[in-house]
Amino acid sequence: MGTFILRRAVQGLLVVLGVTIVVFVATRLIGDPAKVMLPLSASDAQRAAFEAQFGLDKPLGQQFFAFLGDLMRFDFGESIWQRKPALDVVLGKLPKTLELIGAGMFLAIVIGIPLGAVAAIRPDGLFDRLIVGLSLTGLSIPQFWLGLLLIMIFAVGLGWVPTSGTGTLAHLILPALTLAVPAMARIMMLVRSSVINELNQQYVRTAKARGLPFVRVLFQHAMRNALVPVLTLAGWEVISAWAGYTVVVETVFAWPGLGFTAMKAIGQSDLFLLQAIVFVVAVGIVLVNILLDVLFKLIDPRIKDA
Amino acid sequence: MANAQPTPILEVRDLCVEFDTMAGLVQGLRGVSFSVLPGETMALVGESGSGKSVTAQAIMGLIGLPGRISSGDILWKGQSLLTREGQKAAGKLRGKSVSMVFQDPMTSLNPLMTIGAHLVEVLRRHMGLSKDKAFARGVDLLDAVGITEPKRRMGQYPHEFSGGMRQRVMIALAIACEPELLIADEPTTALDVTIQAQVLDLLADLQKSMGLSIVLITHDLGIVAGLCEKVAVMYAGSIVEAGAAETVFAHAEHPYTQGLIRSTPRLDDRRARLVSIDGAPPSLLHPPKGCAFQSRCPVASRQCDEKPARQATPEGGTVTCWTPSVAAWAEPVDRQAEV
Repeated sequence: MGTFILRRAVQGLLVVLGVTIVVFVATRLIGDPAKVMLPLSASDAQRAAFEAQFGLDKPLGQQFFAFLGDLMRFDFGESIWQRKPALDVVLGKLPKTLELIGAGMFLAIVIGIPLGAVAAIRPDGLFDRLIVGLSLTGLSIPQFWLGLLLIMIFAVGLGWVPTSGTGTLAHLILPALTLAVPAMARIMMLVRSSVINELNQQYVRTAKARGLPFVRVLFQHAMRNALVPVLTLAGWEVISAWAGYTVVVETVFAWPGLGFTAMKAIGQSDLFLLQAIVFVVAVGIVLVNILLDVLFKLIDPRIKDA
Repeated sequence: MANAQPTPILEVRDLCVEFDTMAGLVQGLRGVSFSVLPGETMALVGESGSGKSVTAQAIMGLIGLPGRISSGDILWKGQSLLTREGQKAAGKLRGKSVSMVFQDPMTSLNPLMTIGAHLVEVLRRHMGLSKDKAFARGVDLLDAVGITEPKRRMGQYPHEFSGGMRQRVMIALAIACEPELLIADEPTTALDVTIQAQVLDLLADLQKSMGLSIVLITHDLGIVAGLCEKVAVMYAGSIVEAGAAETVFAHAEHPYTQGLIRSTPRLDDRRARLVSIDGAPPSLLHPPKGCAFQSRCPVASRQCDEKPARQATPEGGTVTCWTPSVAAWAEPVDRQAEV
């Protein structure tokens, strides 16, 4: 297991390096920070001084090697927008995003898995139809619209929770729910079809023939097998929340996390901050993938070291 | 009991099972009756779709939607298992007094559980053993079914076992709680020939040492002859002929039984050409009113449009046919010249 994790970590390092290089090139294409950051009235001399300050006046090749060298020291330069080391800005926003993802995924899994499993007990039964209907609704709602709808109903209309911002549990509820609903719908659908599939397997029939009660057959036998594909999906949900959905949700709720900051960094053409964000996100994705591989090995003995 | 006949351990009376499918009501079983005495080995023989496995599932209480038992009765030592109290009792019997070995050992074990976990699970549930005692008993059981290094094997997963070894595990699971009746649904179909013989020998040994009753479901007449005292031949959801295995093989009464025996390959006569019964069984969606074998029967006549009644044979068996004991099939033509 130790060498397995180590090998995955080395592979992950290469991925992170590759992504960072791609981002270096991409960020140089989205705009000229000197034009965005400085007022329109700034003189050419002021612009040149600005570029010299951040090393943007040097040839692209030279910038790249300086960037690689800095990367080795985890130095992403200074955020143009915040005038602080870019990595510090990112790490400062990180806990807020982790809090949001943690709460959202917790809701999606804790609600999605049991409801999907119960629906699978009687396919096409009343409860199953209800669950399938709810899942389809959850899948079809655009996330940004759902967020705004929840704000209108629960924050503006009923006044139960604040419209935006952060600090208390009340602040967390709506963003977490908005993040959770589509993931919950997908998890519910997959758990349902996966459990239906497992309940039709021969080993379930033999377990019944051995006189085991249905509850045990469902949880001890069918559910464990059904959760293998669900784990894949759950990992995908965490990654896509981490690298995408949180940007939408944090923007709608002005949640001061990584996604919100990424939007700002793009708006400000803050190359250095953007590079740091992408680096941290890439590291996160690699870590989640390693964790998933370890979990798969723990659940399914058939998976050998690859 | 006043009469000399011992009470059958299992009796099936006029059992009918229906499946409510998209196409309509499929009559899986159409009045199946038989009984098994303590320590007796009975074979249910028939081609695919004749209702052998449905019969086994009905006995095990495994008929689930869209199927249901529409009429008839299943009795365990004289007590019905289909009444309300009977169903409760059946729940306790299942896996303990009556157990089952299935056709496909490759998919019959939970891939995420060790062999030991499977054994410990049933032993704790039905025998009330502690974890340690159940484990020790599991090791003994694996040893009893001929698995070497049983202690180490307990910790392994199904994918680390070959097909024959998995079927031995399935048998160990089936006999774990000292059942009185074992239903074996084509236990050797998925295994290669040498392993088949080993598994059948194992079943025969267990039957002798434990005094088990066995219902063996198969389409292989060779297996029946070697292992079973009684045989019941199924066709299109009913039993068409039943009796002592020896007499049924020697004097088959029903044209279908005769055809089955005739189409069994013979190793002792190399000239004999392999023959088959032409045609296919009738659809159980709209089974014929009269004899179900009518369309394939070489000696069918007009009276076969009526349903034949079950009648006793001179040898002490039963047959459901208007014209039993007629030699229905012409001798196979000797085609040696062509070979």
